[in-house]
Amino acid sequence: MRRVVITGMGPVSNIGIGLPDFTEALRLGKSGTGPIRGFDPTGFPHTLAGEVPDFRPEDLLTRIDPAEWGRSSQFAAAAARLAVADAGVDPADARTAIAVGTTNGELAPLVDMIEEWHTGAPGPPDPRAAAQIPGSRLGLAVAHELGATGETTVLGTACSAGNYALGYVYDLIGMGEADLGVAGGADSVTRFTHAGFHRLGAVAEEACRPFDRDRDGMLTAEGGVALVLEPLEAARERGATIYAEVLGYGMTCDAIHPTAPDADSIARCTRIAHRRSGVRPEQVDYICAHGTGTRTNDVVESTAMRAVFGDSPPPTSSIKSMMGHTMGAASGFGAIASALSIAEGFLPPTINHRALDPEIPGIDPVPNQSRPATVRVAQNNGFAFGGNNAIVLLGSVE
Amino acid sequence: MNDIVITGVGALRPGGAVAVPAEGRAGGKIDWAPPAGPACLVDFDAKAELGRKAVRFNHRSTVLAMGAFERALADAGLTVTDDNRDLIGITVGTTLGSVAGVAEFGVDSFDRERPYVVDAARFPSAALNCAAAALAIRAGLRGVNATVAGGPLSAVGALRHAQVMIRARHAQGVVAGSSEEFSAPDAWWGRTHRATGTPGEGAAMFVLEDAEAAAAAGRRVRARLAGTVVRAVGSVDADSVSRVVREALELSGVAAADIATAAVRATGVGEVDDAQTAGLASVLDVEPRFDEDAIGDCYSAHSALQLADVLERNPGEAALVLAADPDGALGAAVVTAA
Repeated sequence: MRRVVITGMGPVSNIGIGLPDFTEALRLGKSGTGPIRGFDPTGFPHTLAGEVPDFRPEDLLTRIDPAEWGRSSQFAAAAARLAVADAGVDPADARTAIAVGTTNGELAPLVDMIEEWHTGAPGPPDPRAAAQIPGSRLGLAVAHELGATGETTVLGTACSAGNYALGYVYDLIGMGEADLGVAGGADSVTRFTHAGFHRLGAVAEEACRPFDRDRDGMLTAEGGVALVLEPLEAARERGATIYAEVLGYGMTCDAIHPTAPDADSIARCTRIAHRRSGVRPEQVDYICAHGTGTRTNDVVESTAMRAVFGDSPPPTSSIKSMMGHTMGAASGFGAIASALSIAEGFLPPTINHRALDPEIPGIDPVPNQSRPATVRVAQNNGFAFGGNNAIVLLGSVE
Repeated sequence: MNDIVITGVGALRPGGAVAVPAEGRAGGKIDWAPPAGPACLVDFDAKAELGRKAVRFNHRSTVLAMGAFERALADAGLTVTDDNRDLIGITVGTTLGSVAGVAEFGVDSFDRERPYVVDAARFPSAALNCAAAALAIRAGLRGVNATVAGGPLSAVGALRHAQVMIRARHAQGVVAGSSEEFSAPDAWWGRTHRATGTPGEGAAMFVLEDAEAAAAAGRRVRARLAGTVVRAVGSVDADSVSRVVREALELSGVAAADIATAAVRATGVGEVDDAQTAGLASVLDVEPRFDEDAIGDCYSAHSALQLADVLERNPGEAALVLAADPDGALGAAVVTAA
């Protein structure tokens, strides 16, 4: 296996578009959530989400026409454009692999279509919307934007899909099946997603407070994220800025419940990720948590981390406290935060924090303020509906 | 590089075109009428075969995948035990799961009084990984569980993903394939999205295993998954088709003259389908095989159903399955005798 490093990062998020703004936001603990504007939230008791109102795809995209693509595809392609610019590479060839993770693909135009059928009668939908719906287009939007003609895949492994995508591209480059890769994720805020989490009692009223005694849930959010991966040797040869090395990753499936997570399965996933990365638990300096802000997640995630790390796991913060839950993009953003913890030497905070939940002893959520730290190994957690767990380990490159 | 073999095949294949009843199998909650015209439907008593629980909340695309999945496991003689449940994964290829499933989950949210009163048990239908997760729960398989959103490349993309998972030793085996349903919402969308004639439905799944592991388990080998290629080609033309086919053959170590069957799905886009035919003709000696007359257009499941049919009818032959996405992608998979 070739060693694989991260040399470019492109966040399109509600706390910052582009790496400098995103880094600053993580450092300052900015909040990117606010009132829903993407759809009419009348009737929902809780009406906050993490939309990206400043997203102007036409300002970021250089090749594809935003009008031809759904919002999630626009997010994916814009993030990829930022990432390759940050890396200073030209991926326009057949040796570049692309993987995009997503929970819902292009759900927004599908919701519009279903609403028309529901309020009117079933019939032929708007052809432009119909053309935008396949989830495969998130990957093709990236490929067309970059002019890349290599392997392109969209992994629909729900809320850990960003880690699946990162891992998949890491595998391809490591095994020599690609020489450059762009991995990430994208999703958009929709009425259906908001309604579903609302129905589960999982949507916060005012703020997302992971690991807090008084937390009351998550906030649905959106965005696009991309990371450029390449062999360590190639990165060194061209004098690239190396943010972190991908040490390895692990995946498990709970195979128990469609929506409820399982601590044993997550602990197993962590151990697999450690083993494949050649990392011992005591070497992990920071955990970028899945940290959705629901009690279920907090209890399950902290139980799993204590099972692997003992009574005092490494500092474990949730950037979802700032951004909300960006679904398939979430663990991609987590990967950027983890890489920045290594490259920039700080731990992003869990904001909105007031008091640690006594039910999850031993967790240090890096409350409210980012913290200077030397991070050599960071662990990026991603869990999902369907029990699709994926955990990525990143390390510093000496 | 470790060899990957196919040790089990399970397919739910549709019959010939029939008139669709007006209620159109729209699902439990939605009684929308489908577009007029025939469809190629799978005759599958899901309730009898899979049980009431499996059909109650799962959309048809998941249920069909489950039927094919169980047939594939049985065909391989693969019993899930504590010794193998962590080593075997699942990869399902799909376009968006099920339009009907998404609609059934979400329509209640259009109510402006209480938009949050949606059916929580159907919430997983809104996520692309619904089927893969349901199969894992059904069988207790805790290995790598993935979903590839591939549109027309769903089957080839799932096989490709499974191949990488086994090669990278994330899994010893992966049950991979794809499914597609016919229901009124899916048919209305599909009719506008693509001009491919009679819609079909179905699912096919394949048990893929590391050759050594399969031998150790005493498994009968149906074929070897020799190579897979997935490429974002920009625009699909004859040159790009022949390039991808050549690449698939080269990766597979198979000579063009040895390919006995080349199965292709018609996309309904004239220039793309001409490119598929011309591109294949420039590399292979065999006439491409389209199956729309027999099974309609099974979209996400089409290539999987074609591959299952080839493996059943022509065991021991080398075959190539080609899939094109008019949005700018090509995929090919090559199987050979073990």
